Amino acid sequence: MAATGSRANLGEALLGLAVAALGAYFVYGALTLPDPPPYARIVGPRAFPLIVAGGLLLTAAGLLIQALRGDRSGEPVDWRPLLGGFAVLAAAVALLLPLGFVPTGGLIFAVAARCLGSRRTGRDLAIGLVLALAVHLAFVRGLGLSLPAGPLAGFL
Amino acid sequence: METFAALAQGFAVALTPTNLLWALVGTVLGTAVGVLPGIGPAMTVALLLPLTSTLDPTGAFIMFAGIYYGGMYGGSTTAILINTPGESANIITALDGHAMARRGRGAAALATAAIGSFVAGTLGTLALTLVAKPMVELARAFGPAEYFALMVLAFTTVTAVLGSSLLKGLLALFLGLALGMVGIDLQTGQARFTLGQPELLDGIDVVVVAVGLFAVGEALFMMARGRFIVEELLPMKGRAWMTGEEWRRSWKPWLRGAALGFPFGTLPAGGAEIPTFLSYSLERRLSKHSDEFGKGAIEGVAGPEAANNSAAAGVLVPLLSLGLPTSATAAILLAAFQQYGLQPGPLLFQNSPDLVWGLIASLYVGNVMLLVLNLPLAGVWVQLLRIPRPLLYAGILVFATVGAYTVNNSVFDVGLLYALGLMGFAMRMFDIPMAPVVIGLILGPLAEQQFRRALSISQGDWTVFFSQPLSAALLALAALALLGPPLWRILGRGRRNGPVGG
Repeated sequence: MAATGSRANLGEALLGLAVAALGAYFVYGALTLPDPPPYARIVGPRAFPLIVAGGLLLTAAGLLIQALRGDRSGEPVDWRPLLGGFAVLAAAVALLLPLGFVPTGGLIFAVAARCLGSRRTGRDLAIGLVLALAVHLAFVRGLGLSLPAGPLAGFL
Repeated sequence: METFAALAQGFAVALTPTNLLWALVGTVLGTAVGVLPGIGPAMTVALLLPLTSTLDPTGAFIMFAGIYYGGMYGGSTTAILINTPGESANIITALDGHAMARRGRGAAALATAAIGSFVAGTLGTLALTLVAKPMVELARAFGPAEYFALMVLAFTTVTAVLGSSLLKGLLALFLGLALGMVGIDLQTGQARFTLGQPELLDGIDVVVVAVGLFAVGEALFMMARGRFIVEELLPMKGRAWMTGEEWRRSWKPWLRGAALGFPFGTLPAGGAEIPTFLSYSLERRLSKHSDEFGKGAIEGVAGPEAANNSAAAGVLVPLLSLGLPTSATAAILLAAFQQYGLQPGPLLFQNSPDLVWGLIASLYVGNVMLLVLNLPLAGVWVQLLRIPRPLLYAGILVFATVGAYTVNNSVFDVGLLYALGLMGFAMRMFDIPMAPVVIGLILGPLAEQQFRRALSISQGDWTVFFSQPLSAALLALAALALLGPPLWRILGRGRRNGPVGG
């Protein structure tokens, strides 16, 4: 069996396990719900989630069987830029409130552009900051929605 | 005629300067997102849903409808010039459209796509106008059991029709249904599957799901796979207008595409993709130039492009008359109705005629705008394709972040957006279709509600779904949609029809 083939099957197997775990969580979540009040006894809040959980478990079983049969070849993945993308998104969640939207947006833009193949990171950071500033002004001033301003609150 | 009086009233609404402006904004935005690969009307309408808190519903829906129709027009430009379908409904257009562009007839391909879209979009809208009233009358006969059966039918057809395998379609559907379960149970007030997070009590917002799956997922996918994707933008060569022969070869495919697209759009079968495949194989069979197909036959562009626009009109029939979305964009439009506290169906036609008929009238207006935007101005849209991909997707990430944050002004939603982006990325890698997730998310809670209502009325008697002919028939169709294709294969008759695999 070729190396790429077996890796793709591992991926499908992991997908099947993840779906099985989700299905199991839905079974657990539905069964641990408190008893519904009498007016909702005929079909309580458990029935539908249990149907969905059953569907998830069945598709998980199907995926695992398919993975064992190994009838799919995988596509190559460029891991380095992808992990860079994951990192900047994780950082953005942590930084959005303390830094505010404009610097965070600029950061997302510059790092994401680099992970997508751009090599002019300084220029990208400038474009990102201008874009984020424009979006901030349009959404906050123009549409009356709110975005975290961070330390720049006084200037925006 | 009652319908035409209502439509005239609708035009009075649609032709006010403000609503014309909203239609223009929508069609321009829609064409732009249609042209840009990787972002589409579903995601765009989702990003704009927070605006519903400040806009009046008529203006908002006129804009959303413009985006919806515009996406269908714009997608063909990308398919023809860089061989990447702007939207899934343009996959077929890329085959012969791109071959035409290679032969130096790119401008003619764009023209037949735009005019065909206009002809079919207008005919489809006309059919929508005529069918809406009778459909609403039919919808009055629907009780909870029938609605539930209809939703099950929509689930199974969307699942069976989209994606590479039934298993993956089902997975997508159940993921969507599972996401839809999260939050407070409306009947008992109990919190379900919230992982103890108070932010999840209100459920997972459709904006976060749609934008996460489509936009963030696509950006991550391009990071992982962009190096392996080569695209080349062909110049828009050729005389800017179609030749007499090209007109002669186009008009019949336009009309046939329109006739094929609308009924398929109205069926709960996943929107506009299927009729484009059918139109293509039909045109190939009927054409005197069938040897040219795949090498730049204009019929192969004219027919499918007409079919997808007429299907787009058809999709609005079950959405407006029954509240049943059959495509991802339609599901998000339904979410927009919910944001306004409106329920599509007979009551909407009765209580908000200005909204419904204004919306329908604006579709005629939008088609005219789109013809102007896409025919003489096609060159302007091509410039959008010159935006470097890294900057395009980086910008999409920034907009996605804003969109998720503004739903509830919460960073939690931003984290959820990125997590769903990860899921979208995994789905792209495993070739799992996205639309069933969005449809399951929106329709799941409604299906549960009808399911429980039907069983409450019947005092817990489960045969209620099978004792009425209408719901029994709908459930039988649903089972057939799911089990038919595999059985068909097992019986060993006809492997695949049409160029679906191409």
